[in-house]
Amino acid sequence: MEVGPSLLTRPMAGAGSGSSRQDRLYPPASRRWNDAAAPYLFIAPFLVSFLAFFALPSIYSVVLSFFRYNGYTTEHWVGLNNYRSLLEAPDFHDSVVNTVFYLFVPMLPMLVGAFLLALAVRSKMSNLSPVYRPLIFVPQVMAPVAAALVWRVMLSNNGVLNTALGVHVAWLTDPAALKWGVAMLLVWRGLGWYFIVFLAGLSGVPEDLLEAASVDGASAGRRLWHVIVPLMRPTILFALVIDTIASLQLFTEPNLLVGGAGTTAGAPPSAAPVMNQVVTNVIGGQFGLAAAAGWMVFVAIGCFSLIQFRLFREATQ
Amino acid sequence: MRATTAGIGGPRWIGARGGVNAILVAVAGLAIYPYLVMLFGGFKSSAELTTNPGGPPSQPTLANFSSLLTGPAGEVMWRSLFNSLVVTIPYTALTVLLCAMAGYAFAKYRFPGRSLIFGFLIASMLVPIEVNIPALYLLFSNVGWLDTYQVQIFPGTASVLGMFMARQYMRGIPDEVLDAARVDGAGHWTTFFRIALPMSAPILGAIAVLTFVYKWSDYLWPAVMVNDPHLQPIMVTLPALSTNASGFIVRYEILLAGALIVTIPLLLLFGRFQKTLTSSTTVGAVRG
Repeated sequence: MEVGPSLLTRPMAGAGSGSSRQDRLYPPASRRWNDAAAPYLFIAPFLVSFLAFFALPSIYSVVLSFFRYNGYTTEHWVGLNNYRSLLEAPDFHDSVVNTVFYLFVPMLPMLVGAFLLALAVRSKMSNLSPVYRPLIFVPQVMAPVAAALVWRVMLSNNGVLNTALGVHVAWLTDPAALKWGVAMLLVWRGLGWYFIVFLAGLSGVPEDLLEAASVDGASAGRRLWHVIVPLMRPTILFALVIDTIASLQLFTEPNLLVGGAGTTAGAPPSAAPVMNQVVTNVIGGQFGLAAAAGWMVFVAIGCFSLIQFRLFREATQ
Repeated sequence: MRATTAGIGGPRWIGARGGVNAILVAVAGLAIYPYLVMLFGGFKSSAELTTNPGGPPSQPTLANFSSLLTGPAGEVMWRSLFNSLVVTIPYTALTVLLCAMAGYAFAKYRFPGRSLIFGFLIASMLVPIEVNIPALYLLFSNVGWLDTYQVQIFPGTASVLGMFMARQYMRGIPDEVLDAARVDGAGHWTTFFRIALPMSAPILGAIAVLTFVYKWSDYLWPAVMVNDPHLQPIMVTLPALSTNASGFIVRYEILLAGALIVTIPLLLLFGRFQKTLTSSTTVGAVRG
């Protein structure tokens, strides 16, 4: 293999000028440009993906929400009409009611339950704690699609839940029962996640602080309310906000649990979440309505998060 | 029984202890019971699933797996599993690479616009990706990306959470190490690939596991963007699989076998990377 003269001479290029080795490898002018450009080149691929698939579509979807557009004919400016017709549509009302249900009904058993479980595992009352962590977390590992299919079997008319409770509830077909089945699935999948969150938060509560409180005669309840809960404030707020965001974006669980396996029908109006308004309008070619529904989900997330921040600050100060 | 904290003891303590342990055992049992329903059900006949939906199979059968993995349903199943892998692996690799590069720049360089761009990215986490579905659907329909692999591989790779995790970790790499490499003549790229990347292996592994699990399990995105059954991932085809095989009657024993098949890779990952997956729950709670 022939080695060109340039390859041999290049390392020597700056040798005569008495400059450093770095200067020899990178001539000063281009090195300065390299140094200035390097960070931007490192973030460029990320930013391209972010702008193309997130930021610009977000802006476009704001614009879309003010138009009537079916995807191929011309757009018609309709102002706030998309938002108005959503707010007036019974289906949208139902979906909001359902989503509020999915937000608040599972929240109490899931978050309070996870908190108490974390306290129990953390306390010296249990000598098996390392075993519980993975066991309680593992429902989170099952994909929502698989979990919904398994729960369809458990909630069927002759399924284990009816047998265990000694009742005959048509969890998968009775409009009044659909949402409760979904709520059970959500609690089952979510409990372990918040359990780990609270367990991590509890590890930030210093042991000697609790011992000092206990030496001072504080009961277990007072220690919980006056020492543990205030110290856990950021963790509890984090759990509330994450739960709110996840609940308002809910899609897979209700649609696959009560929408019917083997069909693509999706959940009926009595159980459909708000996200269905986005998806069905996209499938139906009503892109303006779909975008408006999407932004209403975002506004709801913003409002609920803000309320939680404020309530929580006041309640614990 | 092991001695506990001084000053507490006696029968009342032991009673409470027994109660707490009983509750924990009950919760753990309820948590894993649906896994047993899935495991047992996958090996039951249709008739047995009806009469015995919750217990172990009295006559275990492999019929469900053979009808899932062979014949017309098998074609869909293998094709969908292949699609899931073809989509999930490049998506994960790309996400890790983009997050590592951007995280490195935010962690180790000072440059004009750094905090502005970073703050903008963090703030964007409040906007759910679903807000973009109508706009992205239109966009992809115009450029012919609906019903493709690329629509499943590229969008979402700019994971702000992943970038944040990488940046937090890389801030811990001592500047001296990177400077030493530079003095030895390594350029920006060489320093990144030869020094920073290997030193960040733990966090990049964590991002990879989390991304893989998320993408493998994702349903909404492919359900909206991919209509062609030949390109759909397993999560989209699975719920309809038994209908393809047997007409109108949904055969849950087959669905349970399918659910078991798609869950096994996730359980293996969980077994191997348990700490990574559980500690990921609190990533967002870390202050930047």
